[in-house]
Parts: sequence; C-alpha cells; structure tokens
Amino acid sequence: MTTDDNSLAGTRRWAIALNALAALALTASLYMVFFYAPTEAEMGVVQRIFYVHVPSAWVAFLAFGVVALCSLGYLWLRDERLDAISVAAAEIGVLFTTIVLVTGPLWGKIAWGAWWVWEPRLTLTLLLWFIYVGYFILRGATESPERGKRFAAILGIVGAVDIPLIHMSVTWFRSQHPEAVVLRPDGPRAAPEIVQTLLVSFLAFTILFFGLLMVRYGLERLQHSVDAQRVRASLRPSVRSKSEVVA
Amino acid sequence: VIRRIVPALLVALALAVAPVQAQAPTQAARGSIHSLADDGAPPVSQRAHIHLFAAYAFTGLLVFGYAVALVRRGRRITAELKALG
Repeated sequence: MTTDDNSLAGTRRWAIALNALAALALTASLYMVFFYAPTEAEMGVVQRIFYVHVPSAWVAFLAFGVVALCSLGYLWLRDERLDAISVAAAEIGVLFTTIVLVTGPLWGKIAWGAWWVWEPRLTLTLLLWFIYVGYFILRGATESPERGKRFAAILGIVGAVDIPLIHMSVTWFRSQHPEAVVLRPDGPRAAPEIVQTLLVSFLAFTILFFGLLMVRYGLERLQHSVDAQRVRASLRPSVRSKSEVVA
Repeated sequence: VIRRIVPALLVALALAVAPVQAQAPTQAARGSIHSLADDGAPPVSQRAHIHLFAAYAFTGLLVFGYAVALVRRGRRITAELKALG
C-alpha cells in the first residue's frame, strides 16, 4: 500500500465519521427547528426558513474562504492536493449558495411580498454564485489543465473579496435585507431558543460541509490517480514499439 | 447630428418612462418585514407553510442528491481504477 493509498483510506474514514455525525446533528437541528424554536411574532411560520438559509450562507462563505486559501497555497506551492481541496470546496460552495438563492426568495415572497429585490446583499450573493460557476467553466476552458488550474485559482482568490462585501452590505448600503440577528457586536437580538436552534443548525451544516469536503476531496484524488494510470497506459505501447525498433 | 439627436432621444425616453415609474409600486409600498408587524397581521397562512415546506424539501433533495451523486461517482472511478489495474 502506497502513502497515497494510506492517505485516501484515512480521508475515507474521516468522511464516514463526519457524515454520520452530520446526519445526527441535522436530525437534532430539524427537531429543534420544528418542535423547540418558537414561531417568530412578526413573520410567522415562514421565519423557520431562517434555520436553513443562514447556515447555508455560512457554509457557502466558509467554502469559498477555503477555496481562496487553498488557491493561494496552490499558486505558491503548486501542490495538487491544495488544488483538489479548492475544487471540492468550490463545488460545495456553489451547492450551498444555490440553497441560499432558492430559500431566500421563498422566504422573501411571504415576508416582503416579492420573490427578488435588486438590493445589495441579494445582488452580491448572486454575483458570488456566478463567480464560482465561472471557476469551473474557467478550469475546463483552457487547453492546458495546469493553466486552467492557475486561472481558476486566481478567480478563487479574487472571488472571495465578495464575501466581506456581502456580510457588510446591510450596514454599508441601504438594504431591504434584515441585519444580522446573532453575530452582532452588542450580542444576539433574538430569543434564546431561536439563537440555540440557529447555533445547532450552524454546527450541523458545518460538520456536513467538512464531511462532504472529505468525500469530494477523496474523489478528486482518485480521479487524479485514474488520469495518471491512463497516461502511463497510453505511454506503454509507444515505449515498447520504440524498443522493438531499436532491437 | 449626434449632438442633437441623442439628447432629444434621451428626453423622449425619460418622458415616456416617467408616468409608468410614477405609478409603479415601490418596494417600500409592498411592505418590509417591519411594516408587516405594524399591520398586525403576521402572514401565517397556507402559502407560508407551502413556502416553508418547499425550502426544506429543496435543501434536503439538493444535499441528498449531491451525496448520492458523489457515491455513484466514487463507484465509477473505483471501477475505472480497477480496470486500469
């Protein structure tokens, strides 16, 4: 067994453990959302979308933060493992940004009376989604895979600039989107049950992110092994034919 | 000619849009979260329940679907690796 095989087996064990833990945490979170958290007075039952919308946004930010850090590392060290982590995190980030962009309008239609409003936070989040969809298009758009990885890494770093802009947009610009309820300098503004349920959801989604990241990273490394084997297999006959010519 | 036509076109466009803009409902008129509280009628309705269900169903299906896709992809790559020896 090679070192690479050992590390892949380790990744697999971590992936199974984290995803099992995420399933348990998500079950606890769902129980709290529907049976523990009180119905919010102003918005009613639709406010419970909050417990999936906000943690999804957090996971998307975390994922794109990981993409930016690993892309920076990849540009510096040219380590394929860092590129694999970036791809894995970007894919999961796009998944969770999609959840944010779908659950937000479902909430907004009831709370605001409109599916979509072109206000700063929503627009910047949509832009974030496009940037990281572009990340994958850019990877596949170049003839040389190495060049594609380099360009995507640069986009991964530049795209992360959007994250603080999204977070601060409700403070800096005139925005219809509600301000932060829990992560405030003066402490949480919501009822303790709401804060507790949100924190459990945050924990569940974070564990789920790392579980999915481990699985996706393992797949990326496996795919790398397959590609390397293919290259070796395609080189073998040509080497044999050369030796035959020499003989 | 451009100096005369372009400003004239812009003025004509502004005059055409102005009455439509004046009649269009604004975001504030539609009501924000805070103004809903003032109405004293929280939107607890069947529609709100449907939206809540749709949000959780979409999230669940997307995450579960992604996990299933990863597992299937893993099986395919492992089979490919075995075939290559």
